[in-house]
Amino acid sequence: MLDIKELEQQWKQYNNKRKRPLYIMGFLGLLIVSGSIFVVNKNFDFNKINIDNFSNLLSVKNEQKSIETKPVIVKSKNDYLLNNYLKDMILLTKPKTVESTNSLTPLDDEDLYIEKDISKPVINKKKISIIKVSNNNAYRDVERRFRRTHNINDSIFLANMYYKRKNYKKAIYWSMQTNKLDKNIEESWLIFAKSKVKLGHKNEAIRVLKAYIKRSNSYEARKLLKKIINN
Amino acid sequence: MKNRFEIAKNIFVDSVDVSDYIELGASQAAYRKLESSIDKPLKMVLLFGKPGTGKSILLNRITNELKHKKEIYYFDTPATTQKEFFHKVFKILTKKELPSNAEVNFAALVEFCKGFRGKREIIILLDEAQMYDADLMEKIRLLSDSRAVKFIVSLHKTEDEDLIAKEHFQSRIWEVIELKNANLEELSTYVHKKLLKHNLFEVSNALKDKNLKLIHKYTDGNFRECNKLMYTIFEICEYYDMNDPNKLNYSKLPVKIVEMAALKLGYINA
Repeated sequence: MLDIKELEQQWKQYNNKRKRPLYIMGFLGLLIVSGSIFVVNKNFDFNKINIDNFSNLLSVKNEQKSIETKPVIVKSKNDYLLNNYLKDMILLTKPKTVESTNSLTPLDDEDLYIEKDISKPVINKKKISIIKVSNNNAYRDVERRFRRTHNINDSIFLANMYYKRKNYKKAIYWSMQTNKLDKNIEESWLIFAKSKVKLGHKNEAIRVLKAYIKRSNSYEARKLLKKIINN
Repeated sequence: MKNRFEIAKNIFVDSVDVSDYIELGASQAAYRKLESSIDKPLKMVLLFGKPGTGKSILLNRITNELKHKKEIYYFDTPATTQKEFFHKVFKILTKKELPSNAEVNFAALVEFCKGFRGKREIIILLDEAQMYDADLMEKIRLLSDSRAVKFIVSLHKTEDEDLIAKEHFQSRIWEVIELKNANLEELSTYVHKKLLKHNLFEVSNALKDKNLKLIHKYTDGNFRECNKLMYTIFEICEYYDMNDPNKLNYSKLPVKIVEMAALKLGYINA
Protein backbone atom coordinates (compact mmCIF):
# COMPACT_ATOMS: atom_id res chain seq x y z
CA MET A 1 0.00 0.00 0.00
CA LEU A 2 1.30 3.43 -0.92
CA ASP A 3 1.99 6.04 1.72
CA ILE A 4 0.68 8.98 -0.32
CA LYS A 5 1.31 11.61 2.36
CA GLU A 6 4.97 10.69 2.54
CA LEU A 7 5.18 10.54 -1.25
CA GLU A 8 3.65 14.00 -1.53
CA GLN A 9 6.15 15.27 1.00
CA GLN A 10 8.98 13.74 -1.01
CA TRP A 11 7.62 15.31 -4.19
CA LYS A 12 7.56 18.75 -2.51
CA GLN A 13 11.21 18.32 -1.55
CA TYR A 14 12.03 17.16 -5.07
CA ASN A 15 10.18 20.10 -6.60
CA ASN A 16 11.97 22.59 -4.34
CA LYS A 17 15.31 20.98 -5.15
CA ARG A 18 14.54 21.19 -8.86
CA LYS A 19 13.60 24.87 -8.63
CA ARG A 20 16.55 25.82 -6.44
CA PRO A 21 18.93 26.66 -9.32
CA LEU A 22 16.22 28.90 -10.80
CA TYR A 23 15.85 30.77 -7.51
CA ILE A 24 19.63 31.18 -7.25
CA MET A 25 19.90 32.39 -10.85
CA GLY A 26 17.05 34.83 -10.29
CA PHE A 27 18.58 36.11 -7.09
CA LEU A 28 22.00 36.53 -8.73
CA GLY A 29 20.42 38.33 -11.67
CA LEU A 30 18.63 40.68 -9.31
CA LEU A 31 21.87 41.25 -7.43
CA ILE A 32 23.79 42.08 -10.61
CA VAL A 33 21.13 44.47 -11.89
CA SER A 34 20.73 46.29 -8.57
CA GLY A 35 24.54 46.39 -8.17
CA SER A 36 25.01 47.99 -11.56
CA ILE A 37 22.28 50.54 -10.81
CA PHE A 38 23.96 51.34 -7.53
CA VAL A 39 27.33 51.86 -9.28
CA VAL A 40 25.73 54.14 -11.88
CA ASN A 41 24.08 56.20 -9.15
CA LYS A 42 27.23 56.43 -7.05
CA ASN A 43 29.39 57.71 -9.90
CA PHE A 44 26.84 60.26 -10.91
CA ASP A 45 28.05 63.85 -10.50
CA PHE A 46 25.19 66.33 -10.61
CA ASN A 47 27.48 69.32 -11.18
CA LYS A 48 28.93 67.91 -14.38
CA ILE A 49 25.83 66.83 -16.14
CA ASN A 50 23.66 68.71 -18.55
CA ILE A 51 19.93 68.34 -19.10
CA ASP A 52 20.30 65.84 -21.90
CA ASN A 53 22.27 63.47 -19.67
CA PHE A 54 19.66 63.71 -16.95
CA SER A 55 16.83 62.84 -19.24
CA ASN A 56 18.84 59.83 -20.37
CA LEU A 57 19.20 58.78 -16.77
CA LEU A 58 15.50 59.20 -16.25
CA SER A 59 14.62 56.93 -19.09
CA VAL A 60 16.94 54.29 -17.67
CA LYS A 61 15.24 54.62 -14.30
CA ASN A 62 11.81 54.25 -15.82
CA GLU A 63 12.82 51.02 -17.48
CA GLN A 64 14.18 49.59 -14.25
CA LYS A 65 11.24 50.64 -12.10
CA SER A 66 10.32 47.13 -11.07
CA ILE A 67 13.82 46.27 -9.84
CA GLU A 68 14.87 49.41 -7.99
CA THR A 69 13.17 49.87 -4.65
CA LYS A 70 15.26 52.51 -2.90
CA PRO A 71 14.09 56.06 -3.45
CA VAL A 72 16.66 58.42 -5.00
CA ILE A 73 17.39 61.33 -2.67
CA VAL A 74 19.03 64.41 -4.12
CA LYS A 75 21.17 66.15 -1.55
CA SER A 76 22.19 69.52 -3.11
CA LYS A 77 18.82 71.10 -2.61
CA ASN A 78 19.92 74.75 -2.99
CA ASP A 79 21.63 74.40 -6.27
CA TYR A 80 19.72 76.35 -8.89
CA LEU A 81 20.81 74.17 -11.77
CA LEU A 82 19.84 71.07 -9.87
CA ASN A 83 16.38 72.49 -9.23
CA ASN A 84 15.96 72.94 -12.93
CA TYR A 85 16.89 69.33 -13.48
CA LEU A 86 14.50 68.25 -10.79
CA LYS A 87 11.76 70.29 -12.33
CA ASP A 88 12.26 68.39 -15.56
CA MET A 89 12.31 65.15 -13.67
CA ILE A 90 9.15 65.88 -11.73
CA LEU A 91 7.42 67.01 -14.87
CA LEU A 92 7.72 63.48 -16.07
CA THR A 93 6.76 61.70 -12.91
CA LYS A 94 4.45 64.12 -11.04
CA PRO A 95 2.90 66.56 -13.50
CA LYS A 96 0.31 67.94 -11.05
CA THR A 97 2.92 69.12 -8.51
CA VAL A 98 4.83 70.97 -11.17
CA GLU A 99 1.77 72.84 -12.33
CA SER A 100 1.33 74.46 -8.93
CA THR A 101 4.99 75.34 -8.27
CA ASN A 102 7.31 77.84 -9.79
CA SER A 103 10.33 76.42 -11.49
CA LEU A 104 12.66 78.50 -9.29
CA THR A 105 10.92 77.74 -5.99
CA PRO A 106 12.96 75.44 -3.74
CA LEU A 107 11.30 72.09 -3.44
CA ASP A 108 10.20 70.20 -0.33
CA ASP A 109 11.92 67.03 0.75
CA GLU A 110 8.97 65.00 -0.51
CA ASP A 111 9.37 66.46 -3.96
CA LEU A 112 12.88 65.16 -4.13
CA TYR A 113 11.72 61.59 -4.27
CA ILE A 114 10.87 59.72 -7.36
CA GLU A 115 7.85 57.70 -6.47
CA LYS A 116 8.21 54.06 -7.16
CA ASP A 117 5.52 51.50 -7.42
CA ILE A 118 6.66 48.79 -5.06
CA SER A 119 3.35 47.04 -4.70
CA LYS A 120 3.51 43.27 -4.73
CA PRO A 121 3.33 41.59 -8.12
CA VAL A 122 0.08 39.82 -8.87
CA ILE A 123 0.52 36.07 -8.78
CA ASN A 124 -1.73 34.09 -11.00
CA LYS A 125 -2.64 31.01 -9.02
CA LYS A 126 -3.26 27.99 -11.18
CA LYS A 127 -6.58 26.42 -10.48
CA ILE A 128 -6.92 22.71 -10.64
CA SER A 129 -9.82 22.09 -12.93
CA ILE A 130 -11.65 18.83 -12.67
CA ILE A 131 -13.29 18.17 -15.95
CA LYS A 132 -14.80 14.83 -16.50
CA VAL A 133 -14.26 13.94 -20.13
CA SER A 134 -17.46 13.22 -21.92
CA ASN A 135 -17.50 10.23 -24.21
CA ASN A 136 -17.89 12.51 -27.23
CA ASN A 137 -14.72 14.39 -26.38
CA ALA A 138 -12.86 11.16 -25.86
CA TYR A 139 -14.09 9.86 -29.22
CA ARG A 140 -12.94 13.03 -30.89
CA ASP A 141 -9.50 12.55 -29.33
CA VAL A 142 -9.37 9.00 -30.66
CA GLU A 143 -10.48 10.28 -34.09
CA ARG A 144 -7.75 12.90 -34.06
CA ARG A 145 -5.20 10.28 -33.08
CA PHE A 146 -6.39 7.99 -35.84
CA ARG A 147 -5.88 10.73 -38.43
CA ARG A 148 -2.36 11.09 -37.15
CA THR A 149 -1.39 7.42 -36.70
CA HIS A 150 -3.83 5.44 -38.90
CA ASN A 151 -3.96 2.79 -36.21
CA ILE A 152 -6.55 0.16 -37.05
CA ASN A 153 -7.28 -0.47 -33.36
CA ASP A 154 -8.60 3.11 -33.11
CA SER A 155 -10.83 2.97 -36.19
CA ILE A 156 -12.37 -0.40 -35.30
CA PHE A 157 -12.89 0.84 -31.76
CA LEU A 158 -14.72 3.94 -33.05
CA ALA A 159 -16.85 1.88 -35.45
CA ASN A 160 -17.85 -0.39 -32.57
CA MET A 161 -18.58 2.42 -30.14
CA TYR A 162 -20.65 4.45 -32.63
CA TYR A 163 -22.64 1.35 -33.48
CA LYS A 164 -23.33 0.74 -29.80
CA ARG A 165 -24.39 4.37 -29.41
CA LYS A 166 -26.74 3.93 -32.40
CA ASN A 167 -24.87 6.47 -34.51
CA TYR A 168 -25.01 4.20 -37.56
CA LYS A 169 -23.73 6.70 -40.12
CA LYS A 170 -20.56 7.22 -38.15
CA ALA A 171 -20.27 3.48 -37.52
CA ILE A 172 -20.38 2.99 -41.32
CA TYR A 173 -17.79 5.69 -41.83
CA TRP A 174 -15.35 4.17 -39.32
CA SER A 175 -15.86 0.61 -40.52
CA MET A 176 -15.02 1.88 -44.01
CA GLN A 177 -11.89 3.59 -42.68
CA THR A 178 -10.87 0.27 -41.14
CA ASN A 179 -11.64 -1.53 -44.36
CA LYS A 180 -9.51 0.89 -46.35
CA LEU A 181 -6.53 -0.03 -44.20
CA ASP A 182 -7.14 -3.75 -44.01
CA LYS A 183 -9.83 -5.59 -45.98
CA ASN A 184 -9.51 -8.70 -43.83
CA ILE A 185 -10.88 -7.29 -40.58
CA GLU A 186 -14.12 -9.20 -40.23
CA GLU A 187 -15.49 -6.93 -37.55
CA SER A 188 -15.51 -3.95 -39.93
CA TRP A 189 -17.55 -5.86 -42.54
CA LEU A 190 -20.06 -6.98 -39.91
CA ILE A 191 -20.49 -3.52 -38.35
CA PHE A 192 -20.90 -2.05 -41.85
CA ALA A 193 -23.64 -4.54 -42.73
CA LYS A 194 -25.44 -4.24 -39.39
CA SER A 195 -25.40 -0.42 -39.59
CA LYS A 196 -26.75 -0.52 -43.16
CA VAL A 197 -29.63 -2.71 -41.97
CA LYS A 198 -30.36 -0.30 -39.14
CA LEU A 199 -30.51 2.56 -41.64
CA GLY A 200 -32.98 0.58 -43.78
CA HIS A 201 -30.53 -0.38 -46.55
CA LYS A 202 -31.07 -4.11 -46.20
CA ASN A 203 -30.25 -4.98 -49.83
CA GLU A 204 -26.93 -3.20 -49.66
CA ALA A 205 -26.07 -5.03 -46.42
CA ILE A 206 -26.87 -8.38 -48.09
CA ARG A 207 -24.79 -7.51 -51.15
CA VAL A 208 -21.77 -6.54 -48.99
CA LEU A 209 -22.05 -9.63 -46.82
CA LYS A 210 -22.27 -11.90 -49.85
CA ALA A 211 -19.15 -10.30 -51.26
CA TYR A 212 -17.33 -10.84 -47.98
CA ILE A 213 -18.50 -14.47 -47.65
CA LYS A 214 -17.27 -15.15 -51.16
CA ARG A 215 -13.93 -13.76 -50.14
CA SER A 216 -13.54 -15.33 -46.69
CA ASN A 217 -16.28 -17.94 -46.19
CA SER A 218 -16.70 -16.46 -42.72
CA TYR A 219 -19.04 -18.29 -40.36
CA GLU A 220 -20.02 -15.08 -38.54
CA ALA A 221 -20.84 -13.34 -41.83
CA ARG A 222 -22.97 -16.28 -42.98
CA LYS A 223 -24.79 -16.26 -39.67
CA LEU A 224 -25.47 -12.53 -39.93
CA LEU A 225 -26.61 -12.84 -43.56
CA LYS A 226 -29.07 -15.57 -42.60
CA LYS A 227 -30.40 -13.43 -39.79
CA ILE A 228 -30.86 -10.40 -42.07
CA ILE A 229 -32.62 -12.43 -44.76
CA ASN A 230 -34.95 -14.09 -42.24
CA ASN A 231 -35.88 -10.80 -40.60
CA MET B 1 -17.54 -2.36 -9.93
CA LYS B 2 -13.81 -1.96 -10.31
CA ASN B 3 -12.30 1.48 -10.40
CA ARG B 4 -10.92 2.27 -13.88
CA PHE B 5 -7.48 2.98 -12.44
CA GLU B 6 -7.50 -0.36 -10.66
CA ILE B 7 -8.11 -2.06 -14.01
CA ALA B 8 -5.41 0.06 -15.66
CA LYS B 9 -3.00 -0.80 -12.84
CA ASN B 10 -3.54 -4.53 -13.24
CA ILE B 11 -2.94 -4.36 -17.00
CA PHE B 12 0.64 -3.41 -16.25
CA VAL B 13 1.40 -6.26 -13.87
CA ASP B 14 4.57 -7.69 -15.39
CA SER B 15 3.89 -11.08 -16.94
CA VAL B 16 4.91 -13.27 -19.87
CA ASP B 17 1.33 -14.08 -20.74
CA VAL B 18 1.07 -14.40 -24.54
CA SER B 19 -2.41 -12.87 -24.51
CA ASP B 20 -0.80 -9.67 -23.19
CA TYR B 21 1.57 -9.50 -26.14
CA ILE B 22 1.53 -6.12 -27.85
CA GLU B 23 2.73 -6.07 -31.41
CA LEU B 24 5.20 -3.33 -32.18
CA GLY B 25 7.31 -2.78 -35.27
CA ALA B 26 10.56 -3.87 -33.64
CA SER B 27 9.17 -6.88 -31.78
CA GLN B 28 7.36 -8.02 -34.92
CA ALA B 29 10.63 -7.83 -36.86
CA ALA B 30 12.43 -9.84 -34.15
CA TYR B 31 9.65 -12.43 -34.19
CA ARG B 32 9.87 -12.86 -37.97
CA LYS B 33 13.66 -13.12 -37.79
CA LEU B 34 13.43 -15.79 -35.09
CA GLU B 35 10.79 -17.68 -37.06
CA SER B 36 12.94 -17.71 -40.19
CA SER B 37 16.04 -18.71 -38.15
CA ILE B 38 14.15 -21.73 -36.88
CA ASP B 39 13.49 -22.80 -40.46
CA LYS B 40 17.14 -22.43 -41.48
CA PRO B 41 19.54 -25.34 -40.94
CA LEU B 42 21.26 -23.55 -38.08
CA LYS B 43 22.42 -25.28 -34.96
CA MET B 44 22.15 -22.47 -32.46
CA VAL B 45 20.46 -19.10 -32.43
CA LEU B 46 21.27 -16.43 -29.87
CA LEU B 47 18.57 -14.07 -28.70
CA PHE B 48 19.93 -11.38 -26.47
CA GLY B 49 19.10 -8.01 -24.96
CA LYS B 50 18.88 -6.21 -21.66
CA PRO B 51 16.45 -7.56 -19.04
CA GLY B 52 12.93 -6.35 -19.79
CA THR B 53 13.29 -6.01 -23.56
CA GLY B 54 10.73 -8.78 -24.23
CA LYS B 55 12.89 -11.89 -24.75
CA SER B 56 10.80 -14.22 -22.61
CA ILE B 57 7.47 -13.14 -24.07
CA LEU B 58 8.92 -13.57 -27.56
CA LEU B 59 10.03 -17.14 -26.75
CA ASN B 60 6.63 -17.81 -25.22
CA ARG B 61 4.87 -16.51 -28.28
CA ILE B 62 6.95 -18.56 -30.72
CA THR B 63 6.39 -21.70 -28.63
CA ASN B 64 2.68 -21.04 -28.65
CA GLU B 65 2.56 -20.42 -32.39
CA LEU B 66 4.66 -23.40 -33.43
CA LYS B 67 3.73 -26.03 -30.85
CA HIS B 68 1.27 -27.71 -33.21
CA LYS B 69 3.62 -27.61 -36.19
CA LYS B 70 7.01 -28.50 -34.76
CA GLU B 71 8.59 -30.34 -31.83
CA ILE B 72 9.32 -27.24 -29.82
CA TYR B 73 10.08 -27.08 -26.08
CA TYR B 74 10.51 -24.05 -23.87
CA PHE B 75 12.75 -24.20 -20.77
CA ASP B 76 11.59 -21.06 -18.97
CA THR B 77 13.69 -21.53 -15.85
CA PRO B 78 17.26 -22.78 -15.99
CA ALA B 79 17.96 -26.21 -14.52
CA THR B 80 19.87 -25.95 -11.27
CA THR B 81 22.19 -28.86 -12.09
CA GLN B 82 23.43 -30.60 -15.22
CA LYS B 83 21.69 -33.76 -14.02
CA GLU B 84 18.34 -32.00 -13.93
CA PHE B 85 18.93 -30.45 -17.36
CA PHE B 86 19.74 -33.77 -19.01
CA HIS B 87 16.80 -35.45 -17.30
CA LYS B 88 14.57 -32.89 -19.06
CA VAL B 89 16.36 -33.36 -22.41
CA PHE B 90 16.18 -37.16 -22.05
CA LYS B 91 12.43 -36.96 -21.49
CA ILE B 92 11.99 -34.79 -24.60
CA LEU B 93 14.08 -37.03 -26.82
CA THR B 94 12.86 -40.42 -25.65
CA LYS B 95 9.41 -39.45 -24.31
CA LYS B 96 10.27 -41.53 -21.26
CA GLU B 97 10.94 -40.61 -17.66
CA LEU B 98 14.38 -41.38 -16.29
CA PRO B 99 14.45 -42.90 -12.79
CA SER B 100 15.43 -40.22 -10.29
CA ASN B 101 18.46 -42.19 -9.10
CA ALA B 102 19.80 -42.62 -12.67
CA GLU B 103 22.09 -40.29 -14.63
CA VAL B 104 22.17 -39.65 -18.36
CA ASN B 105 25.16 -41.02 -20.27
CA PHE B 106 25.99 -37.93 -22.29
CA ALA B 107 28.00 -39.67 -25.03
CA ALA B 108 25.15 -42.13 -25.56
CA LEU B 109 22.67 -39.26 -25.68
CA VAL B 110 24.65 -37.56 -28.48
CA GLU B 111 24.79 -40.82 -30.42
CA PHE B 112 21.05 -41.25 -29.89
CA CYS B 113 20.46 -37.79 -31.34
CA LYS B 114 22.62 -38.54 -34.36
CA GLY B 115 20.43 -41.56 -34.92
CA PHE B 116 17.32 -39.57 -35.72
CA ARG B 117 19.01 -36.82 -37.76
CA GLY B 118 16.78 -36.01 -40.72
CA LYS B 119 13.83 -37.85 -39.21
CA ARG B 120 12.96 -35.57 -36.33
CA GLU B 121 13.84 -31.94 -35.71
CA ILE B 122 13.67 -30.85 -32.12
CA ILE B 123 13.84 -27.19 -31.09
CA ILE B 124 14.67 -26.32 -27.50
CA LEU B 125 14.32 -22.73 -26.29
CA LEU B 126 16.55 -21.93 -23.32
CA ASP B 127 15.54 -18.81 -21.41
CA GLU B 128 17.89 -17.13 -18.92
CA ALA B 129 20.79 -19.10 -20.39
CA GLN B 130 23.36 -16.86 -18.71
CA MET B 131 22.67 -19.03 -15.65
CA TYR B 132 24.16 -22.13 -17.31
CA ASP B 133 27.84 -22.78 -16.67
CA ALA B 134 30.44 -23.03 -19.43
CA ASP B 135 30.68 -26.82 -19.12
CA LEU B 136 26.97 -27.27 -19.67
CA MET B 137 27.00 -24.80 -22.56
CA GLU B 138 29.74 -26.86 -24.19
CA LYS B 139 27.60 -30.00 -23.85
CA ILE B 140 24.64 -28.12 -25.35
CA ARG B 141 26.89 -27.19 -28.25
CA LEU B 142 27.85 -30.87 -28.74
CA LEU B 143 24.19 -31.83 -28.74
CA SER B 144 23.43 -29.16 -31.35
CA ASP B 145 26.30 -30.50 -33.48
CA SER B 146 24.27 -33.67 -33.90
CA ARG B 147 21.99 -31.49 -36.13
CA ALA B 148 18.96 -33.19 -34.70
CA VAL B 149 18.45 -30.71 -31.87
CA LYS B 150 18.43 -26.96 -32.42
CA PHE B 151 18.89 -24.60 -29.49
CA ILE B 152 17.54 -21.05 -29.25
CA VAL B 153 19.52 -19.49 -26.43
CA SER B 154 18.20 -16.38 -24.71
CA LEU B 155 20.66 -14.31 -22.70
CA HIS B 156 20.80 -11.06 -20.78
CA LYS B 157 23.09 -8.48 -22.18
CA THR B 158 24.90 -6.74 -19.36
CA GLU B 159 26.80 -3.47 -19.46
CA ASP B 160 30.17 -4.85 -18.39
CA GLU B 161 30.12 -8.12 -20.23
CA ASP B 162 29.67 -8.54 -23.96
CA LEU B 163 28.16 -11.98 -24.09
CA ILE B 164 28.57 -12.55 -27.79
CA ALA B 165 32.30 -12.34 -27.23
CA LYS B 166 32.18 -15.31 -24.89
CA GLU B 167 34.20 -18.15 -26.30
CA HIS B 168 31.44 -20.72 -26.69
CA PHE B 169 29.15 -18.25 -28.43
CA GLN B 170 31.73 -16.63 -30.66
CA SER B 171 32.34 -19.73 -32.75
CA ARG B 172 29.04 -21.59 -32.42
CA ILE B 173 26.21 -19.14 -32.77
CA TRP B 174 25.28 -18.63 -36.36
CA GLU B 175 22.43 -16.24 -36.00
CA VAL B 176 22.17 -13.40 -33.51
CA ILE B 177 18.94 -11.53 -32.76
CA GLU B 178 19.21 -8.53 -30.50
CA LEU B 179 16.24 -7.00 -28.72
CA LYS B 180 16.58 -3.36 -27.76
CA ASN B 181 14.70 -0.95 -25.53
CA ALA B 182 11.82 0.86 -27.18
CA ASN B 183 12.09 4.37 -28.55
CA LEU B 184 9.57 7.00 -27.49
CA GLU B 185 7.17 6.27 -30.32
CA GLU B 186 7.21 2.52 -29.68
CA LEU B 187 6.76 2.97 -25.95
CA SER B 188 3.81 5.33 -26.51
CA THR B 189 2.18 2.81 -28.86
CA TYR B 190 2.81 0.04 -26.32
CA VAL B 191 1.13 1.95 -23.47
CA HIS B 192 -1.83 3.14 -25.58
CA LYS B 193 -2.41 -0.28 -27.13
CA LYS B 194 -2.35 -1.97 -23.73
CA LEU B 195 -5.00 0.40 -22.39
CA LEU B 196 -7.15 0.32 -25.54
CA LYS B 197 -7.07 -3.47 -25.53
CA HIS B 198 -9.04 -3.24 -22.29
CA ASN B 199 -11.31 -0.43 -23.55
CA LEU B 200 -9.74 2.14 -21.23
CA PHE B 201 -9.81 4.81 -23.90
CA GLU B 202 -10.42 7.71 -21.48
CA VAL B 203 -7.41 6.71 -19.41
CA SER B 204 -5.40 6.31 -22.61
CA ASN B 205 -6.41 9.79 -23.76
CA ALA B 206 -5.43 11.29 -20.43
CA LEU B 207 -1.84 10.25 -21.10
CA LYS B 208 -0.39 13.17 -23.02
CA ASP B 209 2.91 13.44 -24.90
CA LYS B 210 4.53 15.19 -21.94
CA ASN B 211 3.70 12.25 -19.66
CA LEU B 212 4.97 9.71 -22.16
CA LYS B 213 8.22 11.61 -22.72
CA LEU B 214 8.78 11.59 -18.98
CA ILE B 215 7.93 7.88 -18.71
CA HIS B 216 10.37 7.12 -21.54
CA LYS B 217 13.03 9.26 -19.89
CA TYR B 218 12.70 7.47 -16.55
CA THR B 219 12.47 3.93 -17.94
CA ASP B 220 14.84 4.35 -20.89
CA GLY B 221 12.24 2.55 -23.02
CA ASN B 222 12.55 -0.71 -21.07
CA PHE B 223 9.22 -2.57 -21.10
CA ARG B 224 9.62 -4.10 -17.65
CA GLU B 225 10.52 -0.76 -16.09
CA CYS B 226 7.68 0.87 -17.99
CA ASN B 227 5.23 -1.70 -16.62
CA LYS B 228 6.48 -1.00 -13.09
CA LEU B 229 6.15 2.75 -13.51
CA MET B 230 2.71 2.58 -15.13
CA TYR B 231 1.52 0.27 -12.35
CA THR B 232 2.65 2.77 -9.69
CA ILE B 233 1.18 5.75 -11.61
CA PHE B 234 -2.23 4.10 -11.72
CA GLU B 235 -1.90 3.00 -8.10
CA ILE B 236 -1.51 6.67 -7.13
CA CYS B 237 -4.42 7.67 -9.41
CA GLU B 238 -6.55 4.96 -7.82
CA TYR B 239 -5.79 6.37 -4.36
CA TYR B 240 -6.66 9.95 -5.37
CA ASP B 241 -9.78 8.81 -7.21
CA MET B 242 -11.07 7.14 -4.07
CA ASN B 243 -9.80 9.51 -1.38
CA ASP B 244 -9.02 12.91 -2.87
CA PRO B 245 -10.51 13.37 -6.37
CA ASN B 246 -9.75 17.12 -6.35
CA LYS B 247 -6.11 16.31 -6.94
CA LEU B 248 -6.82 14.36 -10.09
CA ASN B 249 -7.40 15.85 -13.53
CA TYR B 250 -9.29 13.14 -15.39
CA SER B 251 -8.64 14.57 -18.84
CA LYS B 252 -4.92 15.03 -18.39
CA LEU B 253 -2.64 13.00 -16.16
CA PRO B 254 -0.78 15.47 -13.93
CA VAL B 255 3.00 15.38 -14.37
CA LYS B 256 3.21 15.47 -10.57
CA ILE B 257 1.77 11.95 -10.39
CA VAL B 258 4.35 10.61 -12.88
CA GLU B 259 7.08 12.24 -10.79
CA MET B 260 5.65 10.84 -7.57
CA ALA B 261 5.68 7.33 -9.09
CA ALA B 262 9.26 7.88 -10.26
CA LEU B 263 10.21 8.95 -6.73
CA LYS B 264 8.55 5.87 -5.29
CA LEU B 265 10.51 3.59 -7.63
CA GLY B 266 13.78 5.47 -7.13
CA TYR B 267 14.21 6.79 -10.69
CA ILE B 268 14.60 10.25 -9.15
CA ASN B 269 15.49 11.34 -5.64
CA ALA B 270 14.01 14.01 -3.41
